[in-house]
Amino acid sequence: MKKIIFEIIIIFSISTISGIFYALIKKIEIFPYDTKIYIFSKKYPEIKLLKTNEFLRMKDIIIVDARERIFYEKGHIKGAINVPYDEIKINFYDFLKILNKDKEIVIYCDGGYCEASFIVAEFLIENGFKNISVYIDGYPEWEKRGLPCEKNIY
Amino acid sequence: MVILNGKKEDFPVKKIFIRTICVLIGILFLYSGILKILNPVEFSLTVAKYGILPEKFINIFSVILPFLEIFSGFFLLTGFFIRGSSLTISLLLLIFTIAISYVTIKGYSFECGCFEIFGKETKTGILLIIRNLILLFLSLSIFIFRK
Repeated sequence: MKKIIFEIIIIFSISTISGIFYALIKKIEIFPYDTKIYIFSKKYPEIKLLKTNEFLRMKDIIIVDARERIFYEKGHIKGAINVPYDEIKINFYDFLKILNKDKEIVIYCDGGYCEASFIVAEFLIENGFKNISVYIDGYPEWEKRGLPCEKNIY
Repeated sequence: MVILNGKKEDFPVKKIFIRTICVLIGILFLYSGILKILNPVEFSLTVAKYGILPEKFINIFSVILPFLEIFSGFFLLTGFFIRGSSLTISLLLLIFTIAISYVTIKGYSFECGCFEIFGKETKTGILLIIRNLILLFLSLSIFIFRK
């Protein structure tokens, strides 16, 4: 029994040490502040990550709301187009007509850990879009700051 | 078992069988560990998809787990620390099976992040759970029958 415990400890120790060394060599953050954003941005380094102040400075852009339709209708950033992450693959050609490949596209969702922006960003990059940014603070921060919003009222 | 000169000895077929399983599982884990460590970003994304680990621990898990697979696979293949490595592999397989069952119950289906066979990766679901349980049975049999 002691021998097995010894063997397992050896295997776990070698693996942990190798893993940490590997992370250091590859410059992988071992305990990142924000994992999802970190791993997505590592996968697509061309995606720019914007905070509210940087976003406000941008001009001549297309703003894309990546949240589901129902949330978009309840309230969104003024002038934003809804490209729901769960519909992008189905209605891609419709969205393609609205989006312009030459313009800078800023995508947002609920901020923090929300994946929707990255799903849309990933899909657009795979389809030849180049100027993609993600507004990482997202709609809650925008609303909290009292910046211009609009609603779809039926 | 055959009895020679009053001593019980392992029947060679059993030894060959256990050795074959050791080599097969060893190669499988070595291969899957190397694949994962070559694409750490892809792997950490898959770990994030499972939604089980807290966000902070995804990266550390994604770099240590492939090495655990590599070393335990390597030890099984070379014949060192066989019981320790087979128990480690069984433990890993148990964790994988629980994780896959969890996402399957929740109704999700995505590429499992296990290993690619002919460029294709298995999706999470019942078939994968069965495959993992067979592997778990094999690795546990190494642990039990190997003295």
